[in-house]
Amino acid sequence: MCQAVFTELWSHPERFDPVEGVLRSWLVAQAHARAVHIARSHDAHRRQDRHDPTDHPPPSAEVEIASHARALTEEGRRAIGQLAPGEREAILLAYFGGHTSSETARLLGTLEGTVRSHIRSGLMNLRRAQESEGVTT
Amino acid sequence: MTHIGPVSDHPLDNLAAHATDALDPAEQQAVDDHLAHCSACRAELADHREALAALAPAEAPPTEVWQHITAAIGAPGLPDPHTGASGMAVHDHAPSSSPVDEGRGGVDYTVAPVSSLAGAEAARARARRPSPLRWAAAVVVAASAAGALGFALGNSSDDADIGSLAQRALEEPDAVLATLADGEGQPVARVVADEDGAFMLLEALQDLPEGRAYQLWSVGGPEPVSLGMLGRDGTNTVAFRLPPTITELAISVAPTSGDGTPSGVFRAYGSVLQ
Repeated sequence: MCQAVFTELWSHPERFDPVEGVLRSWLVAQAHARAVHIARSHDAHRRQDRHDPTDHPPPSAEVEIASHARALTEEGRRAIGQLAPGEREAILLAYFGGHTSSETARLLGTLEGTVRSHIRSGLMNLRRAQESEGVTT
Repeated sequence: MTHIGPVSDHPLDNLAAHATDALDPAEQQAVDDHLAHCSACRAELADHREALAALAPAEAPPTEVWQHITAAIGAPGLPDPHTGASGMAVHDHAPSSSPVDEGRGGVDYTVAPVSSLAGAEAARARARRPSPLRWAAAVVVAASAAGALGFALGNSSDDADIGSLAQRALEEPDAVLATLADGEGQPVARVVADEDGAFMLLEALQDLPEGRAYQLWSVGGPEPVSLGMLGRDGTNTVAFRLPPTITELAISVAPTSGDGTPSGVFRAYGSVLQ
């Protein structure tokens, strides 16, 4: 993953525009998009194979949210802990769980539009908190 | 001056969902189409990505990843930004049992879990779906490597000395590594190199209109690979790094942001002297 992102940047340096964001967050975004793509392909492939012995019933949303939160660094947990519950759950399931917004809505028993607006307000609140704490990426 | 229309014109919620990769492909394409002509939304996307990147833990990827990267770009001697050792030196000391796939990409490294998850349910959750974050984390510390990795092409406007460095390189014997000619065989550009680096000297290309730029390609392999943008000035000098694996170069005309694959007829073409 790391190799693919770096060699892609090497081959296509014009795809990163420093005017529109810092390199670190751009690289993380590229890696995340690739990882989600692979995870979704993997899931789609497995759904076709009903006899896959590694298939387990999916965990509950609460368990999944808690496990993603626990995987964060202490700073990350503190930052995301300051968000409203709906914002926190939407970001943990969508970004860290790799779920689409419609899957996230189903897991949370809410509407897809609500999930997207929670992701947006959550990200804006995170950014505001990071700026006031002087966090840069 | 960017015109920012009413809020309702911008897909703000979908933009946030896009930042978390939570849209389905069709919706993602719609947001990408909007982003192509909306700088306000590109700026907001960059802000969202910064917020998310700040949550990502910083972890160093395994040393082998750096070796794969430097091998893939044809610059095996670049020092590892973490250890300071060159890729070659580390490679020499790598245990012989470590499988090193020198072939195409597709080797995925999962980094150490960012934390141990307690409970069988949570462990199953992790086993069921590889955490995208754990893969994404591998690039976080490696992002600092970008300074060492550099870009294939520098920006000539960043360094007023590039022209004089290139002229000095020209005085060295055997400094010219390639001469690129246009469709009629007339030389229009040269590549020179010395210990300061490699330079692309555009010497007789036409200046391009606003919004267009020359793009440099490596065309010796199975598919053209972009080496970066050369600007729209037909007599420009640009510093770049020339990996030893590159054997043939070509220059196309592209939009300022560059093409993914070359379009139109190459304006110049030449082989690199080995």
